[in-house]
Parts: sequence; C-alpha cells; structure tokens
Amino acid sequence: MITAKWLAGHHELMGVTLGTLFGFLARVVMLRSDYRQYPAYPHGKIIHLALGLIAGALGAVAVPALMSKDYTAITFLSLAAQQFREVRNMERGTLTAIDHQELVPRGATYIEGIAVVFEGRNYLSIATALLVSFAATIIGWIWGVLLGVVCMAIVLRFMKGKTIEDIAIVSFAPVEAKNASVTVGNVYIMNVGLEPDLAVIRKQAMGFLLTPVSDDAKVTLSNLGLRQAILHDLSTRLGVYRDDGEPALVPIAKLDLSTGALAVLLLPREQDKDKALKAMRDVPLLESAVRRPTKANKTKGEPNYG
Amino acid sequence: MAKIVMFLTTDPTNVSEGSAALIAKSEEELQNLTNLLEKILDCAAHKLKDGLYMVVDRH
Repeated sequence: MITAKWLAGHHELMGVTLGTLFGFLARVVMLRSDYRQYPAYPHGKIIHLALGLIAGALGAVAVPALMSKDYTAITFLSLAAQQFREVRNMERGTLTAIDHQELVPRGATYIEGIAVVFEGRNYLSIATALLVSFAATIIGWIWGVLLGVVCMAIVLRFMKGKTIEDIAIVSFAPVEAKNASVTVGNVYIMNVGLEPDLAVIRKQAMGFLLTPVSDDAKVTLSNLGLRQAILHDLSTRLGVYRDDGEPALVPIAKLDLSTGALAVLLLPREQDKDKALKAMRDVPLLESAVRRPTKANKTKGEPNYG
Repeated sequence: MAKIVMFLTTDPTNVSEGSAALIAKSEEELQNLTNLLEKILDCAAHKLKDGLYMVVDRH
C-alpha cells in the first residue's frame, strides 16, 4: 500500500515520478492547436506528446543519478538535446514540403520560427522536470508540486510572444484599382493589366496600412519574412479569394519607402472589418525578423534614450 | 526576376521584329487574347499603355 510514510521513504521515486509528470504536463499545456491548425491531427499531436514524455523523464532522472554520484548521467541531457534538434529538423522539413501547396505560403522565416518553438518547448519541458525532480528529491514532494505549478505559470508566460500590435499602428487604407494600377492609400502595389481582375480587386480587396511606432519597428516591418507571415496568417484567418493560375489575384505587401509604413493588400473572403483588424493585430512577431538597430548603434557612455 | 513571355498589341509598331508578339485586330480582341494567355500560361498580364500588354512569368 502506498502511504504517506512509504512516500516519505522513497524520495527518489517521488522525484522522478513528479518530475516526469510535470515535464509532460508542461508539454501538454504548450501544445496548442489554434487557427494555424498545426499540429492539428491526432498523429501530429501524439508525436509531440510522446517526445514531451521522454523530455520529462530525461529531466527527472538526472537528479537521482547525480545524487548517487553518477556524474556521467549528465550526458543523458546532451542526448536529449540531439533528439530535440531532430524535432526541429522534422518540423522544418514537413512545413517546407507542404508550403508549396499553400495558396499563400508561410515563407521560410515563419517556418523557421515554428520549428524553433517546437525545439524550445521541449527544453522548457526538460527544465520543468529537472526543477520539480530536484525539489521533490531534496526538500519534499509538496515542494516539488508547488514548484511544478510555478513552472507551469512561467511556461505559459513564455508562450505569449509579441504581435504586430506591439510594433505598428494598424489602420485601414482605401484600395484603388484603375488604369491598370493598384494602390493602397498612397502606396503603389502592382500593375494589373486585365479589367476583370481589376474588378475583382475593387470588389474583394481590403487595404491596411501598418505605421511603425519606432525606428526599430521600421526595420522589423521591412523584413520580407514577416510580410509573408502577415499575408499567410490573414489569409488563413479570413480566407483568401484566389486560385492557382490567377497570378493577378495575389495578396501582397509593399513598403512606403518615405515613411517606412507597410501597405498590405488582401483579398479576404470574410469582409468583417473588426475581425480583419483583430487578425492583423494578432499576427505573431517572428523572432528572426526582429531588429534593434538603435541598440546596436549605441556606443558606450551615451545617454540611453529608451 | 520576372521573364517576359510575350507582348500583345493592336499596333505592330509597338513591338520590334523578332520579339514574341501577337497582333490583335481590335481592342476587344486584344483583351480577350490577353485574358486567355494569362490563364493558359499561368502568367501575369500587365498593361504598359493602351493597346499594349505584356505577359510575364514570375515562377
């Protein structure tokens, strides 16, 4: 029979069990399927849950192994790191392969961002397991559980990245399509030769203007990968009025070179303005697109202006 | 970089000899031909001026 007394005598077993459990739970709460629909299928989820369990177990067993002076056990963790780099490659490979079949592709930057997140979340899962196992083994199982709950909160906080809203003011801009030219606000977007295509653009198109809030934001917004991510995300959330073999009907984003603002031309199926505005503000800011030139150019001793 | 596939025009003096070009008899025929070629070739049709279209491949 498992009693409190029995548990008190089996610190290590408790540590490993709790560590594995919380490591796995951390991966479960981080495995979300949202509008991006990835990973959406049962099998896609099973892969990541299984790897989460392995990550939890690896983190949890490291503590008792080290306590019994088995220092080589630390090589276990490097094995795990190798394994999770594979996860990143796997995600990158899958997403790149299916990207060719998308009407509006994600683009390499977005795919890389998603792949990095998959790898990173496994490490967070290991770290949770390691800490919980440590606390449960050394101090007591209650502390292990408490620390586990704290880790969950931290992990959830890590999931919230920045969005477009943090770097730009989003507003609507009128779309004009006449004389073979398409413009959003004052920004020239493209030349469309045929009148039927222009008519579709006049009817369906929605124009946005993203005005950067700082000099850093200006550089970030000009990143081509981020622009493609914006187009992909909005086309996913609002639908897209286009088909293969219709090269004129393509969502596109162009910079206003004089102000650094980004003009976005979309062809959404959903014409609800509020939904469109929310979708645009929620587009994730890609890690590899973010630039901070104002920080890089600052020399030592200069006053900090922000 | 986009590749020029062909020109379509109502006025033969718009295109030089040797370039791939279709000469249409009227503005209406020109529009029809351009529309068809856009769909057939999966290439974008651009209007350079009245009576002159260019079909380009961006793949």
